[in-house]
Amino acid sequence: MSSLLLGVVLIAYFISAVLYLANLHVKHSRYALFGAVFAAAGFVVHTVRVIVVHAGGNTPFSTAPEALVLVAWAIVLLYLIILWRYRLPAVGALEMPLAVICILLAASVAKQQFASGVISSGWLKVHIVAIILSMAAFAVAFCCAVFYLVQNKLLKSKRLSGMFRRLPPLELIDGLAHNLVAIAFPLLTLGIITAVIGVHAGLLRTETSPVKIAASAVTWATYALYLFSHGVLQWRGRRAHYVLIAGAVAVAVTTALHGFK
Amino acid sequence: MHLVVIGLNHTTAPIDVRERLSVPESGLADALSRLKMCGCVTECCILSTCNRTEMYAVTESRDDDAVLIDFLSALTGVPKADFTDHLYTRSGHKAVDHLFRVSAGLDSMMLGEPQILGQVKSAYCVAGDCSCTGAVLNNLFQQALAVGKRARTETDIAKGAFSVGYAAVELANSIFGDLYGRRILIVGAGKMSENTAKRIISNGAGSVTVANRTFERARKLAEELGGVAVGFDALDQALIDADIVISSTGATEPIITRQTMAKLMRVRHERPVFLIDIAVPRDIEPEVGELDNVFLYNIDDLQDLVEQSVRERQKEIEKVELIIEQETRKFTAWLKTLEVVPLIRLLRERFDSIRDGEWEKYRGRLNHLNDRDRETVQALLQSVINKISHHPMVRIKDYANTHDGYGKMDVVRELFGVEITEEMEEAPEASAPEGAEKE
Repeated sequence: MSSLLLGVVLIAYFISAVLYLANLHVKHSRYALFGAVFAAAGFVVHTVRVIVVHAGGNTPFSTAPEALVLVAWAIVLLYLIILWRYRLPAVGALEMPLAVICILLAASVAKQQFASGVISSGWLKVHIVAIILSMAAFAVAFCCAVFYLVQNKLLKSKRLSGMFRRLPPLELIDGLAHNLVAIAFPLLTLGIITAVIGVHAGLLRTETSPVKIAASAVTWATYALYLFSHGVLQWRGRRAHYVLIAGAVAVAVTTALHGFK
Repeated sequence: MHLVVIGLNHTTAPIDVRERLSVPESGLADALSRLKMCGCVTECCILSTCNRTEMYAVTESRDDDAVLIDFLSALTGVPKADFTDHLYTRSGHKAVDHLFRVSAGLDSMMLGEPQILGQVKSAYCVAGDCSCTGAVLNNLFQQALAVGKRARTETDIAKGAFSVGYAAVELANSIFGDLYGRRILIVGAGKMSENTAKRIISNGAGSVTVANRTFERARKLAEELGGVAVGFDALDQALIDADIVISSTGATEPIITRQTMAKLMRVRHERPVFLIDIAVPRDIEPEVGELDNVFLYNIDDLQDLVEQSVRERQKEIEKVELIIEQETRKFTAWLKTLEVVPLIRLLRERFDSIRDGEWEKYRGRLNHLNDRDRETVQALLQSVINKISHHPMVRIKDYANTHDGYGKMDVVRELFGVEITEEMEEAPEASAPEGAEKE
């Protein structure tokens, strides 16, 4: 049942992604509208699936693949919120493919349990949910950064036809990326703190290695740098978005180190 | 009955002829009332903008076109010989097509420009206010406005930049999202910068600062735009505060150099700035554009953007023409119901269908009659219909020769509930009197 639902979700997201990518290139079309319809429909089925899995007695994030599927769910949720609040369909051209990739990755990695079956522990739940949500928000912030850099490049080189008109305005996308990181960063911090306390207090039984700890620290530090330069130093522009992309790479590396062998 | 447009525009007449023939808005109502008094004119509307002067009229016949031309000459005081060569005359469905093209912006000097729709609307309103429009022109102008809107919403004919000012607004939007609360700095109080600034301000920008070498001129422009004036000595601070800078001084050397801007950007915390250099020679060193978060566009860049939008809009012409064709067909089909021969045919069909319908309804109850009696009943029905329709039919034929025939036909159409049929919509060519063109 759940894998059938996941298949439906994957197809819906995939169609939505294709439509959004086409929307960047085709003028005056309804692709964005249909893209949104498929994204929303997929999201509804996805939500049903999360509930079904949960009702079946499994915590929806007890295994690495399930956690990835949940990341995809959170990415699409964030996308729909962005669409509603900011009216920026262009962002879907990166977010939806990202959601598709998450689900495909989930299907291809081994179904290993996190932290040897102590998922019922409250600590671990808080830890994983916080990390999943922060990952989704960082992923969306990454999309924003890519769009910012592309739009910046187009504006600088004065190539103002085609895609240029369908990409979001610089300041808007800059603000959106900042808001996302501002939400995700406390969640990441919470995730790390729960992990540290959990391991030390013996609530979490999981392997720790210096590499894992270093990767987490680098991720945290990258986003801390971004927030500090943006908020305190008031720095704007291209370099801040390079930091965001570096952060996304750090997130990907850390995830790979933690979740999968 | 004859629907006609006579006029000239930027493609047929040079500016001096257009200037002399333009009808000022204040004199429009008076002109229309005088035109209506010509006798042969039932409905009329004058569309006069800087690029065109056109008279739309419903008259008795094609012979009245000369009256319209005489009127235009008398109204503007320009001898006929001076402008008749520049005139075009279109009638019937070609007149309809023409107005639809005008309102869609296809006939404008700047393809797809938005002002024309408002101008068509106000011309129609003025004509309506002095009771110069009737069944035909009311419907025609309302349709034209609808076509103009359809063209602009369903196609990209009105997208993109129409002038340097528009291009600047579009770019500013791509950088800042919206212009609300953005601070504008105008360097050099020239006419060009004033126009561009006005365009940006009208799109919602916030405060305005004007910096000029002579303070007095800065103050004057600032007053006009509702901003503050500063001297050139305060330029650096103004550059730090501004989001959008419009520069057009007469300086021969660049007044904003890469070095200064790089320094100022650090003070600005790299906050993006949009620099518009419309001066020739340039006020801002081109190298300034290499700095991060500085978006520098000069007059050529903006001009390119305008031309590029024009090219993109040109690709939309076909789509708009499709809409116009569709709507013209619909309108001419309606107009056709106001022509004598088709109207009579439609009325006959209507009466016949009533006769047949009633016969079908009562036939069952007349089964006891023999064939001869049934034929008598049918003849009776036909006779009643003939008697009732005879007088209206004769009158309708008379209407064809009166100048307000269209209006009366419309009443007939309404009274008898004659509607446009599919078949008529499909054959617009035959419906309208062939349009005469003279250019």
